[in-house]
Amino acid sequence: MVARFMSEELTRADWRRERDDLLRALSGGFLIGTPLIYTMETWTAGAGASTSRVLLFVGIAFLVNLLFIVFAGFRSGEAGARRPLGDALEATAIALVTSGVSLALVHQFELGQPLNVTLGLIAVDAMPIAFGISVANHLLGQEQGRDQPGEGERGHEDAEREFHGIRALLLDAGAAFAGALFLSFNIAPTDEVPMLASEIPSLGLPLIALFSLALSYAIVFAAGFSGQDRRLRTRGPFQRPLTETAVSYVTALFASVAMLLVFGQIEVGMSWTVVYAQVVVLGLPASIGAAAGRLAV
Amino acid sequence: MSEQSDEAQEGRSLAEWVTLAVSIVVVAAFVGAAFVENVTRDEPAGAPITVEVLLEQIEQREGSFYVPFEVSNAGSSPVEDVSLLFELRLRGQLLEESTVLIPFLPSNGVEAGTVVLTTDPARAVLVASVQNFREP
Repeated sequence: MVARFMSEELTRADWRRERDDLLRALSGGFLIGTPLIYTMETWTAGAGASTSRVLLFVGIAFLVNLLFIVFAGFRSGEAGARRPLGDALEATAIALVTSGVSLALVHQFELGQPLNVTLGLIAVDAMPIAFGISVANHLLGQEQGRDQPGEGERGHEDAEREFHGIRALLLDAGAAFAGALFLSFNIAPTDEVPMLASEIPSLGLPLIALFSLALSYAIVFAAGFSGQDRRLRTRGPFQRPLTETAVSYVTALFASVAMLLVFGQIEVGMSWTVVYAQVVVLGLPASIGAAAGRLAV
Repeated sequence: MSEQSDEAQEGRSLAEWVTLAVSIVVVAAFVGAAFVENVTRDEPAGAPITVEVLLEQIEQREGSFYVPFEVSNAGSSPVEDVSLLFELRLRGQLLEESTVLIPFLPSNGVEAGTVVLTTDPARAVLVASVQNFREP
């Protein structure tokens, strides 16, 4: 009976670990790959790619993943992966799915679109996403060893106790704003933002907003990046995961509005539907940046 | 993906096997689709770019006639800067002409557009033709 209970616990732990691994990989992929999803040259390159080039893109993504996983490991602190071929294949598959989902969100697939165009679009954007998946844990670290903090971390945790309530909220909002600027500053002035805003159907925009919120939550609270545990322990009325995610998304939207205004993409007196569409479109990379920013503090 | 623990060192867990299996299916399906698309591509001989005027969808707005069209590239390689010429003729006499530039047209791709004319196309003959294009 005890053995069976322990076995079930182990299985549950395995699935939880696997879910965290997948979420971490997806988050890293979006973090690195999103700016290129918003680049029309990659759409052109993908739409015009021959079959051999599509296979070459996928092959390069697999090979770079494999090399990275062999020499640097798939996770922080890993000297090298024990099963590099399987890990690289999984990273490539996640990249293909992530690329497809991202392109569908920004309405780059159409009914009746030729198969070679769809495959080309997915393959081109899968490359940077695959790199993001490989390096995700090395960029933001993993939640390993957080249960036994070193001297420096203990001091840091003592300081954290002072950061609660409104101070914690301001710190989070500032970090989210800075992160949002960091990731979407180079996207805001491009033609892609108004172009996507006009191409994406009205019903697609709330979908992007929901996806931004879900991804933001996953990066900070579910993927197990370094900083997750600390964020879950921080106290205050706005420090609950769902509330903090919502506040962070609103901050990312404010950052988007500010950037679009600065670059003249939106103006006072412009139709609110145009403004809304552009803000939501830029809000996706901004919210990813905001999540990464909050993990960094 | 495998967690680096003593337990995991013994082999993949069920969860990891499932992830690996799904990954293999995803990559195999993608690569397989690319091969199948390449093998079954039906590429016609001759000039692969055609333009079709959708006369039944013409709309009149504020004195102008909005004529939708579709330009298709049935070839196996993409083309750039496709220049289209629309000529409205009546008994051989040119009433109006308009040019449209399509920046990019993927292989087996179709782009839609609209040409705006001041003369009612129903009263004359509208001829659309591909003038030139570039191969990237």
